[in-house]
Amino acid sequence: MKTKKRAEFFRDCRDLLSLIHRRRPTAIPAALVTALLESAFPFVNILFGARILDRLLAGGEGVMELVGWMVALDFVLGCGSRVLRWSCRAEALTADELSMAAVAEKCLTMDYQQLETQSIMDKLTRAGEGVTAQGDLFSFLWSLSELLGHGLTVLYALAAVSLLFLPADLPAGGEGWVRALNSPWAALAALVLALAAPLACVPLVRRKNRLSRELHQRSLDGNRRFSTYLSIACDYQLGKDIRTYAMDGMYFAKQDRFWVGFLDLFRKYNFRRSAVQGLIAVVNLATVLIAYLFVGLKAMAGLITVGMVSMQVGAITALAGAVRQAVELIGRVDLQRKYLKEYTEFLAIPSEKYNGTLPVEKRDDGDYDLEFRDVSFRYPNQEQWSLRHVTCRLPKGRKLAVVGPNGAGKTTFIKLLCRLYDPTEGAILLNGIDIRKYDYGEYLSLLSVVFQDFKLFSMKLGESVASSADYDPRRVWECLEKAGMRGRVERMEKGLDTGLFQQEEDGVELSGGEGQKLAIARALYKDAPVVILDEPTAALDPVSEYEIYSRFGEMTAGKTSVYISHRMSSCRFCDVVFVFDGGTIVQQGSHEALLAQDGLYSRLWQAQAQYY
Amino acid sequence: MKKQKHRPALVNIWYLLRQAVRQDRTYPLALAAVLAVKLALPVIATLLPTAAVAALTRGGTLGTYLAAIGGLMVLYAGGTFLGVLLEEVLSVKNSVFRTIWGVTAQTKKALTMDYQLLESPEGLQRMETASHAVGGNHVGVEGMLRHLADWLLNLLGMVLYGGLAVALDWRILLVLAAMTAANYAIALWAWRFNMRTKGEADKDLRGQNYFFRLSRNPANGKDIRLYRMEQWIMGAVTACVMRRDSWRRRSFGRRALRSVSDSVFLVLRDLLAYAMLVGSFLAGDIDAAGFTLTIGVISTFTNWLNMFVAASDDWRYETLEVDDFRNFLDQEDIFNHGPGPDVSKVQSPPRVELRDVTFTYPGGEKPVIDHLNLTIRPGEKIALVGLNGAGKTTLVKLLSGLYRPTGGEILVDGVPAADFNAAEYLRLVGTLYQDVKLLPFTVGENVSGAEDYDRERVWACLEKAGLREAVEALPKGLDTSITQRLERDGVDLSGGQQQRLLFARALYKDAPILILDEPTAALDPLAEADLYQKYAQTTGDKTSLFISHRLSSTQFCDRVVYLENGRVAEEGTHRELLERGGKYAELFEIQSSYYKDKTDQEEPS
Repeated sequence: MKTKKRAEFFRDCRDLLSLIHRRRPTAIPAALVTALLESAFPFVNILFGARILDRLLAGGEGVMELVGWMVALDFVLGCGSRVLRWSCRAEALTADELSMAAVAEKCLTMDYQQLETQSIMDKLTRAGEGVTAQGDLFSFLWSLSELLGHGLTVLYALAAVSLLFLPADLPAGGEGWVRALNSPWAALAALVLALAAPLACVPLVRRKNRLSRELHQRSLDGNRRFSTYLSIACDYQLGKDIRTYAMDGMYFAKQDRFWVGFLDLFRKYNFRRSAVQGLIAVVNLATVLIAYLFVGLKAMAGLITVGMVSMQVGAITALAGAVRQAVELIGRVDLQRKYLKEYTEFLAIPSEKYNGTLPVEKRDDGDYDLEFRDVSFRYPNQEQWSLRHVTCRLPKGRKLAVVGPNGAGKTTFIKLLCRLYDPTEGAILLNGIDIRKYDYGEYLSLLSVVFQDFKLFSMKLGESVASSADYDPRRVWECLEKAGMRGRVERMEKGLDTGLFQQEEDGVELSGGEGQKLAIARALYKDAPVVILDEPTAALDPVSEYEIYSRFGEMTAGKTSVYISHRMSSCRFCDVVFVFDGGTIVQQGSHEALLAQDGLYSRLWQAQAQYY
Repeated sequence: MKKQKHRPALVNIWYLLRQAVRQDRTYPLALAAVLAVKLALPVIATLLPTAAVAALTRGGTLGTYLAAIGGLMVLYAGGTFLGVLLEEVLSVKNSVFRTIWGVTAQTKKALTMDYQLLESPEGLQRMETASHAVGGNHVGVEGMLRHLADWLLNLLGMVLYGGLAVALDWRILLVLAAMTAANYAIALWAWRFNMRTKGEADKDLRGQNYFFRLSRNPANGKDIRLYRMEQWIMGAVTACVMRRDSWRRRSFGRRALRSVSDSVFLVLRDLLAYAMLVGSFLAGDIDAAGFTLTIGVISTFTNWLNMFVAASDDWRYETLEVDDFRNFLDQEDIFNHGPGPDVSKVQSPPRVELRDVTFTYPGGEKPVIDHLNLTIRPGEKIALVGLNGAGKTTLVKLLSGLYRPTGGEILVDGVPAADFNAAEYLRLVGTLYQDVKLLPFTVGENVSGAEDYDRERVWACLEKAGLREAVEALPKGLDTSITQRLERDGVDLSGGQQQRLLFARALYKDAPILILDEPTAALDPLAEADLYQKYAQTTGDKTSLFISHRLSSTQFCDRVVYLENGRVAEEGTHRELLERGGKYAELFEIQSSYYKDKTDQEEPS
């Protein structure tokens, strides 16, 4: 078991290092060199300080030469390692941002269904929280390089300490204890004793790490609440409601109560942890004491010089310190490895969706036949069916209206059509072939969709219409024209280069109606043979609504189009109407035919028409 | 953006320290204890080798050697343990101060300052920078306070050791002074560069974070996939990262130069110190112990000096954030927050009069509300209609008491609205805002706006809003939390249910003036018709204003007001306006055309 764990540890470290190397090839060499220089630095003074003192006591000849060497080495190692450290920091911060970018890319490309899956998003949160609490990829590299540095320190220190093992010529009249001190065994015993202190700390270090982990676990929930409270207070839209309904009192009562518990948790853990930390520091001081005793006794007996005393104390202290820190670091590296595993595992989540390879036949006549065959669907972890036994065929090249009460399954119908989800039962066919068998990207190229909750991002307007950094401005203008946005954009100073929203410099804010028009322009630019508009006029005033209605025919000429709306008026200009209720299609036919029936359709129609 | 006030770092730290002491009387005690221990430890550390060398070279006995080393070690161990504990005490005090004082002050200001000031782009920006200043252990408020101990410690250490060093040789002090001056000059240069270029880099950081948030928000996922935006977005992300990378290299390069300059001066320092000490030693002025002590003192002094400069340098960055924070808190309200006329004297329902009301957004060129005159009789129901951008939502904010007119006045029962205490005026109006937003608290709390509420009344309001059954079906009824943001067992309500809950909230508040801003946009026809009816039934005794793009809704209102370019273009009953054949009639015609018989209508498109 233990070897297995160790093997896992090494494998993970290797994998993480190779990930770092791929992302930033200069990072590992830079960290290595820094470790090399930094660990050597203290030994310059330890070594030269002793020799300078001895030389002085011996009369002072050539002492300035030694000083010169020491100063020169100090300069090279000190300056080099500090400059390198800055460079490593820059390297690390950039690579850290690249790591975040990798997460973003994963989110952009994973199955849509996965993006909505709680367990996967929890993994993302855990990975993120672990990374913020325990350090990212580059803190990991940093820890490893420190570990290496401590290893080197041990080597240097052992080399220095080995001088202690050389027996000196016994001074005349050496007593028994002097002879004993002179033996290599005494040196060995002292060394073992000196190292016993950091090793005795191992259980303490474990305890400290356990406390840190426990605190991290127990504060996860609190951290989430903390940021929720902050986001409430900083949500200016919510600020209207909080003022109007005088809810600030309730908010602060809750926030204050939350803090009492949350801060107590930290207090409790931090004090316990710092007591352990203090104990570790004190126990480690035993090393220094032992070093002074042993080396001092030797000097007193005349076995070593006075200069050697400071050198050996320095070396033994450095040795024990390096061992102690290495022990702590191994714990940290192990922790970091575990957290980073969440991160790498998140990046490695495989797609669950079956992705076919069939290309979609390119046709100019828009002859794409889409059919639902006995499709049933329920959302993951839900018992209720959102769609049940839906069988229908989209009217090729014609206009379809989809209506029904809230929650009837209209939007789910569209999501399945876009393959954002796959049917739980049944199949959707394109020209007689299951859409799962087509290459997903190719299949999506058939659809232009304006979702009810369409999103526009804070980038340049022209790019936003084209969904790309490279676009054909002439076509963008055409689409804006068709969507009724051309005039507004022409009045903007920078035209298509105008930024949208706050993230862009001088970004313009769009009203709900303008946003909707832009989303429609985006759908038109895509120029796909199937056009789907989900509630495209909800935020529009009657005149803009009329414009969209009037242009609908022109916008969708020769295409199969689907129009979902609560405005029953839109059914008038569609060729076919599907009426959804409770997840099934309860009625279908032309507006006139359905109005003549005594069914849900006529009730929906009357509910609105009565006022006109 | 208006020029923001900047204060010297010491002014800000003094301000924070005063606040911290006010929060916690024992704060200075903890600070002093940390300083005392941490100042003593390096002294002992310098004395230890000196004592050893002294005992060995001055011919001491084994006993004196053991006593010296043992005594110092005991002191050192005790100090170390105490130091770790005390530092933790102080660190926890700092974190507690940031949350209990800092975050509370920030959120309190955000939730209670005049909304008009908050909502402007500058106001939001100010709020964001202020929340960043209290957003972590090592930034802004807490960062600055954390560095206070370091700064004081190094200052004290510098004075203490500086005295010793000067007693040894003033030339060494000269070299160190030059080193510090050079370091300071380079730091200033690096800082200026940073200030000049930070704006761009910060923009890229915000851009990056915007894209990161955007990518993981499931709500964006559909559009991103359907329009294959991943390359486009990643291109933008990578550009941000790379621009920051090149900026960081330049900025860090400047800072690294300080290390180089320090190293050069250290060479000078060491050469000088050793030359002098070797001379003194050989001349017999000092012995080996004195030699060791002096080397220790000089290196410790240099250390204090460097760390003092570093701590001051950290402050240079943090003090700006503290400035942001204080500037946010110091924003002066413009509404009346003192005593005003008694709101309980306002009749229910009251008469509301807008007299020559004008409103221009800060920096806006033309007024959004332009010399508008309108009188709403007590208990009258007004339908406010108009195209997008006619000024309807601004008018809602003015009447709700979130904005004050830039010209003219609003009178409630003849009393100018601006005369009322701002918070009391808010009690007069119940508004359903267009952007449907609920708190992640329980259903009952969302309806009543309080933790302690009349459950019967909440149920009655839910009933009237048509939401009773749905709430009864929830696992914990009124005590069910909305969304899982705070409670794991919270539930998500559909758009229609949220809409109804907001309506129930307005009913619970039972304010004499009621405003509904587009409350049915997301509803299906049956639910919409149902809500219209409920509004008509329950708003009988209120002075109310109803805004909707669905002109059909105007029919249960007493009067229709058609707004255009911030002015009342037409007003009258639905019938009157239709007969007049003006703009309202035209709009109504457009909408109703679809619902009328096909025979007398032309097919559009």
